[in-house]
Amino acid sequence: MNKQEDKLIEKYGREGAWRVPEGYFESVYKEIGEKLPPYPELRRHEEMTRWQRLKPYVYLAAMFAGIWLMMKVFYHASGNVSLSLDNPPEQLAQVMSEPDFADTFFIPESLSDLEVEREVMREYDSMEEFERDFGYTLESQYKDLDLTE
Amino acid sequence: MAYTPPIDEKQLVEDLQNPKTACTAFDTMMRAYGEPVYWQIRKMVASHEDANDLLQNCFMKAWSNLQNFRGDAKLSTWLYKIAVNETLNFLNKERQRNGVKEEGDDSFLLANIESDEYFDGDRLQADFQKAIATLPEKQRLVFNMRYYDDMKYERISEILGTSVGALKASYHHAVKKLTALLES
Repeated sequence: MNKQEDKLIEKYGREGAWRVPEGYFESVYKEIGEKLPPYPELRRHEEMTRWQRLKPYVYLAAMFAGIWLMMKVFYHASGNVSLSLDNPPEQLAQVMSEPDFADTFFIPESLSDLEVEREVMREYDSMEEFERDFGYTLESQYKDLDLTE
Repeated sequence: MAYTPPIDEKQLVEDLQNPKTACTAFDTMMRAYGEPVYWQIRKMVASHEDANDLLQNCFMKAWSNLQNFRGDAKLSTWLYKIAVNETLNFLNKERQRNGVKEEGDDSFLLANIESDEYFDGDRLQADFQKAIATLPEKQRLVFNMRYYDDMKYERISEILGTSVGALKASYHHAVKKLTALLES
């Protein structure tokens, strides 16, 4: 590497000065071999039931239903504040920032963003309905999107 | 020096994952890799008794996780990783037990090195080991693997999950620091 390393090697060598008791390795391998528990069995892959396959989707639907219900409740509680995802009522924003929120409304990690998006889109038949629910006014280029595809 | 065992690793992995041949294969694996793994641990913890316990823990963990070994890495790399984790956990506990707050100064492990039954070195070697023990633990791991075992940086990188560039810098710093410490 460099002169400093060479000096260390020259002065201290590379062998080290540690040693082990006579016959140590032979005896330790034997000792470990005798202590080994039974062979760890493979966890067999079991066929998923229909409920197990559907569960993430049911949770997802419940999550959106829950969020929407809460938004409705807070909307009524907070008077004339315009309701949209960009401007959620204060109480809702607070609830969503709670650490327990993610645990309560579990989003399965196995779902990709695309799958989540598709799941949401499936709930709406038209952009007008989406705009009305979420308080959005979509830009003109999105107006012609066909959500039923 | 690094030990390269004359074994067919692919066959050994297959045998380890077959319940009928696993015990024999595991014994072969221990004999092939046990010694270099032991010395890695020993250079970090100093005491033979502690190194012995950690080596045994390492192999017991390897046995209970055989099904998780997918063969993506070399068997020896996998074992080294387990050994490094066991060693670092042990050192953390020892520092807490000894009230050492500063991570990186493990020279307390070598307080009685000269009277250690399994240390054959003279005063010069004892001083060298004590100086090495003052290096931060990751730097010390890199130093031991490179200086004593002449391990390639790419191999160390696989074991420690650190880039080759960072390892080279780490080794360079370690050598520089040791030289300065020992000259003073």
